[in-house]
Amino acid sequence: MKHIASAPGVPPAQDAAGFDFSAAISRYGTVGAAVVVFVAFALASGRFISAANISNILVQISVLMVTSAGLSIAVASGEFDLSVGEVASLGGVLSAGLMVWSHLPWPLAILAAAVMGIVIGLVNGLLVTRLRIPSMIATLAMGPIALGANYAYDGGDSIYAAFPPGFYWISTGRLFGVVPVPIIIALLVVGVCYVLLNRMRLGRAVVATGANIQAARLSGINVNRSRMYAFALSGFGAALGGVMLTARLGTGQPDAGEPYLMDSLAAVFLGMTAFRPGRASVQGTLVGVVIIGMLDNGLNLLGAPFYLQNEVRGLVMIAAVSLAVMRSDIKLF
Amino acid sequence: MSNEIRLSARGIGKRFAGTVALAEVDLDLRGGEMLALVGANGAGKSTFVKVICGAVLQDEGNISIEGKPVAFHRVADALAAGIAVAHQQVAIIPCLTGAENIMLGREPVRGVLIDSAAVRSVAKKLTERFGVDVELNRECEALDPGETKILDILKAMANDPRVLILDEPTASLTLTESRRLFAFLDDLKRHGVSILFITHHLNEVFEHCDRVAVLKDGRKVHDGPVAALKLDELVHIMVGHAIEDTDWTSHASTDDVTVHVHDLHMDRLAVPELTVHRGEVVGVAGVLGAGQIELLERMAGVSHAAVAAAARLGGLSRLPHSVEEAIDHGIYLIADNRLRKALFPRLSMEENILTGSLKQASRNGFMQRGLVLRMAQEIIRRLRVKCSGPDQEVLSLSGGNQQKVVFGRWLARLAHNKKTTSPLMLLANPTEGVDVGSKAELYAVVRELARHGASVLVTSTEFDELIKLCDRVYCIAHGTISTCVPRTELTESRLLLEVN
Repeated sequence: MKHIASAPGVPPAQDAAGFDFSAAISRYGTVGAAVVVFVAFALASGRFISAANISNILVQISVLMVTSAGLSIAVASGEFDLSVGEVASLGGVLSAGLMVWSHLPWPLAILAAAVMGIVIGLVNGLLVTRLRIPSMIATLAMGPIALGANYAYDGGDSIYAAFPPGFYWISTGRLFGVVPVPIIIALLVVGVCYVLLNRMRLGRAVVATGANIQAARLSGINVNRSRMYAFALSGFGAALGGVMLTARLGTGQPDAGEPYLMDSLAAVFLGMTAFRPGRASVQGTLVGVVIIGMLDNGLNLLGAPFYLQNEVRGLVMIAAVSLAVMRSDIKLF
Repeated sequence: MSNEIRLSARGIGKRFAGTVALAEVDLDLRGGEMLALVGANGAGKSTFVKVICGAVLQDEGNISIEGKPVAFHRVADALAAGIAVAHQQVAIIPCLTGAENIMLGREPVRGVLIDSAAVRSVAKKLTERFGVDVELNRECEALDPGETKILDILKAMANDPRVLILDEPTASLTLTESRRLFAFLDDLKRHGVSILFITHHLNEVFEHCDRVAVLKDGRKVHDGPVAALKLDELVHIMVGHAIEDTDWTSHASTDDVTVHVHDLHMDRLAVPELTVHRGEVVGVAGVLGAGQIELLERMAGVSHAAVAAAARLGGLSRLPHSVEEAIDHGIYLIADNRLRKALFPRLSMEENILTGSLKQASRNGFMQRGLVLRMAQEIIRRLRVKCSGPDQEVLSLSGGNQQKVVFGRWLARLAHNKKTTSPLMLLANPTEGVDVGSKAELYAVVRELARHGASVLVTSTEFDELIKLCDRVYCIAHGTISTCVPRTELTESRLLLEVN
């Protein structure tokens, strides 16, 4: 009975008498941390809260948001996807190559990259559900495989050439002349993932699988199918993020996606400390992405040396995981 | 020198959150004696063992060893005082050799390196001292469960304890393996080791133990030599008064057989014949780990290896191949060990209930929020779940309310099912760790289900529960379902006799 926190039969005090402070800290502490980071940078640098910079931050984090949203679904299903960085790289160069070398219309190039991401995700899913390889290992191995395919395709060189003008729209376009398109894409992805996880049958099955796979199976949920979908969506998000990155950079760079593995994981773990502690959620990941984006941007504005950003990344990751573990019994292996 | 009192416990009392687990328990253990400690589930055996081995500190009472008072604050204190425990779960690491396992954590070293030769020779001396013949130099993977258990006990003996506590050592052993284990235990006794032996198998008490102590509701109700007792007398002491039940009526149909299993052979259990009628509540009784849980899980499609010569479960003319198929045919399992197998501890009540009805509560893949909320609220009302609302995390509910949520998952589905075929409910230890009040409420739910035509197959470690619920009870003895006791003959002592 050691894991039962509150006294038997007594609901936690959160009504009548009013406000349960520790529960609020546990739910909204991470949001509070985001506000603290925001205020701190705003005080330290006048430029930080300019409309231009805030818009800039949002555009910068849109790619990370898309890759992390997909990863959130994989983590919600109880699995890891450590191939997202390399899949993002491959998605980026594939879309570039298809437009530049194969002269494919840009929507088709994006579609092809997305299909590639889904296929890799499904292979990850098969490795985990059929061969029963722990996802951390299966997807770790998938990384170099995707990187090899990437190098085979582009010879390890960046793909420099003018893309069709329409393609740049997904990075520099503005909806109604105001809202940058990448922000719209990121919000769309967040919205779709949120509805999927919270309002759809598939999403409920995914969450149940991640919460207790044995109980999910005994409830008649097809846990392998939920995990296959989760991996496919994770691969899709990674590939789409890679395409957005190529549009922003204007070149298809073979290693552009790599840093996104670390950042996406940090964002998801940070997100697991928000709202419903211990559970991966898209809304939580959104908070994590915003924190990471502000740290990156703020440190830049303050003229911090480039290596400090790496240190901060690592520390954020450690802080996020230790908080996530401290607040619940999540297992990372 | 072997007849002095080795371990003496006086007036041991322990409370957990207001409930009395142990009260005024006196127990003496003499040198070279094997004392059986028996009692129903929840009688306080495991708490007593925890006090003796230092895992739990008693509220009242004293322990002394060879006349010297001791106080155990940690397991290490008890170990140092010469008390060793071999738990029900063996602590043998398969990829280490027998010798390495015995010496694990106390390996002799030379400098910073483990002295492998010394590991082997010390372990060898230990086996020679007790005259056992187990392979010490090969990895333990190859050993059978009996040898593994002996090795586990040897490991406990490596500290040269004066008192050895064995918690259900034969629970997972075959008869031959048990015999060999007892031969080894007899040798230990001859070497003057005092053994406290906890078991559910009463025949072992009569065959191998010198004395038997009975715990009931946390108190010692009997203590005396085994030779002075007969099996049925011991059972009577364990059970005490018969428990009267007032509002039981049978809802069983006499001719509508909904479940029929013929010649099913599983790893530990053979089922020559099993039937359940519409509206009938049928029990399966056996000692712990006799295969009753596996039988229910097989019928629910959790495992699908074992095949029956013939089987019919409701509309299905064979045993189900998967849980999904079982559920589609109205076969619902309430799994034992709810936190591991049934609940999503970190999800809310609503989400826990919902997982059983994803299809029923969705349209075109989208969950219907209003319906989901209504389902959860219906369950809260109907089962009187004490909670702050459908949003409450299920882990923070009490055991009884958690179990209501487990029942609620299938009750919600039944209430919103379009198909009207009467279900088969498979209940594995349905009130495990549930307080008395919630128990009565869950029994009422089971009776209500039967009244509406459900067929119910239930197994429980508490025979009292089977007596309260069942029309008749199948008993497992020697690895097979042998007898079926009708309601008129259902008593706890009869069931205990049948399964031993």
